[in-house]
Amino acid sequence: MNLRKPPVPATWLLTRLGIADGNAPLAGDLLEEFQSGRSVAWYYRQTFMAIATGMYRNAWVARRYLGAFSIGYAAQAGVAFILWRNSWPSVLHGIAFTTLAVVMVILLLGTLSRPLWRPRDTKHLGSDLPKLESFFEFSFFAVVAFGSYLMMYGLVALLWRQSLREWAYTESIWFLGFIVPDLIRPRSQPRRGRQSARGQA
Amino acid sequence: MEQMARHNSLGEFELMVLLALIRLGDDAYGVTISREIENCSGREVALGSVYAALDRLEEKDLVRSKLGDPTASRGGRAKRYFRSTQQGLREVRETQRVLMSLWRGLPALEGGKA
Repeated sequence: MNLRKPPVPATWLLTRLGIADGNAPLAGDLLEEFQSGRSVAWYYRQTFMAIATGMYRNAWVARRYLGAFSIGYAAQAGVAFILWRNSWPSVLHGIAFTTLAVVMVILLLGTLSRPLWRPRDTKHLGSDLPKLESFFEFSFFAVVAFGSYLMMYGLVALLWRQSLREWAYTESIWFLGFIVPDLIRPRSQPRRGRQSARGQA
Repeated sequence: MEQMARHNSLGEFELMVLLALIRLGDDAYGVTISREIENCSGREVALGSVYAALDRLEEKDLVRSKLGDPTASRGGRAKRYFRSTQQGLREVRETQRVLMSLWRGLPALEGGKA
């Protein structure tokens, strides 16, 4: 059997962003349709739609944490901006903060594109819980990254003989924005009243 | 009682997906469901959206799924077959009843006149 090869970039995206593993039946359906004569453009369209749909779904699953993250980050950004404008060594602070912001956004988008959520099926999945591990990996990174950033912030404050009050204020926002969501994350628990797919209508 | 309280309202696309898989019976999986909707609506359907709708329906206990066997033409990936549950059938009937009663209240639109 001579099978057509789907476009490599689209396949790479499907694999790289976790759809090929996280939702294998969907990846299989795309390939089956492509083998049955669908165009390359169709394959690309469907791939991008699958990725966008998956990201939306992941964002919905992780909405609580995304909300906490957004509030924490926005507050942090606001405080940092005020400090930047007023008294901090602006070049150093601006470069560090902008770099960190860009890295965080890229990582967040990368995290959302991974399969945080997986469909319930009966053969491969032992748990019905949403797969939020990727988001918590990101959350952990955010804690480490901002922690390091704020340590540098404090060090600069000491070196420049500035007040540490703003630094403490920023630290508390960082704590509320990133540590608390991690502390209240859901633990594994059995889902109520689900039956296997054998008992179908 | 809890079932009564937790009414599962169906979105337009969810209803289309549910009707398509009921029509298809045992052969309902991503490809056939999207083709069925495409044939009826005349529009291209995103497989990702079909799966998103199916996942929502499964969360509402309106459909169940099971994996088939992997095949070479699908890159060694299995098909995920879907079937409506009894609750799903009830929901479709209820939606039909509501839509029909609303439709009957619009005499100007009867006979396909917009």
